Amino acid sequence: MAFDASLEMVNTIAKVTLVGELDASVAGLFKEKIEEAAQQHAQRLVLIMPNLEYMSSAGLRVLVFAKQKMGPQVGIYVVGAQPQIVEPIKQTGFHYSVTMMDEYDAAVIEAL
Amino acid sequence: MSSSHIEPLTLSGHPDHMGDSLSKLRKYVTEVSNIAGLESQAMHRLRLAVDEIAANIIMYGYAGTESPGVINVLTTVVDGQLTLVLEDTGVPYDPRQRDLPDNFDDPLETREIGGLGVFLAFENVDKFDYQRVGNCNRNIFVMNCP
Repeated sequence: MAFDASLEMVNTIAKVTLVGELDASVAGLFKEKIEEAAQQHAQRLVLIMPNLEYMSSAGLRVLVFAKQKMGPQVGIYVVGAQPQIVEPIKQTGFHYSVTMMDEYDAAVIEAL
Repeated sequence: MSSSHIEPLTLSGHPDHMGDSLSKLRKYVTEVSNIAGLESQAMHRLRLAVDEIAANIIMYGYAGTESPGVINVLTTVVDGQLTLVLEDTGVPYDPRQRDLPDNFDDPLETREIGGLGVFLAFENVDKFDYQRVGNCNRNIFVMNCP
């Protein structure tokens, strides 16, 4: 399934919806959305992933880029990731730096 | 000895065709995993491992070469083991020699991004091996079948 990434800004929350298969050939599109969110001074980054079917290390590298570009104070939330996405996130220790959620939790993400 | 004959696959190693090659490769890995009877989680792990090394072959092994070659994918299922081999004629490169990340507790903003793909490749197969045969790199992935 073709990869797509879309950005929606809600106040200072950047919601990036990822769909399809995220590999090294398309990671640049994901990175572009992170740059757009950073330009709009996002204070939280929410990655909506229920329909993301595959993610390689190229996607993980974009998460590192996001933290470096947006700043360590910007929280990253991974929402609805499928097991095959969660496993490499945990294998590489990225779950220590992002918040994993089964569903979008407004009470947590939108809290001041 | 039980064995299954599986057709090989040939992919372009040209960086301009990376998306198409990786997509075809992941589909192929899914198919051979089904033939071998791998469970879903094992299939996903093998797919990730093979995709990571193939991406490296295209981006580094063939990048900068005047005429990037192909990646041949050979698979056998013998006596309860699936063995998949990626063959390329890019620059000699043994992934086992690469320094792997070990700073998994560090915050993301301080993480080094190099080596993540090779780490995931090693982590997600039951055995990984590498051979240099003539002008050919052979990256070998082995999964134990249930």
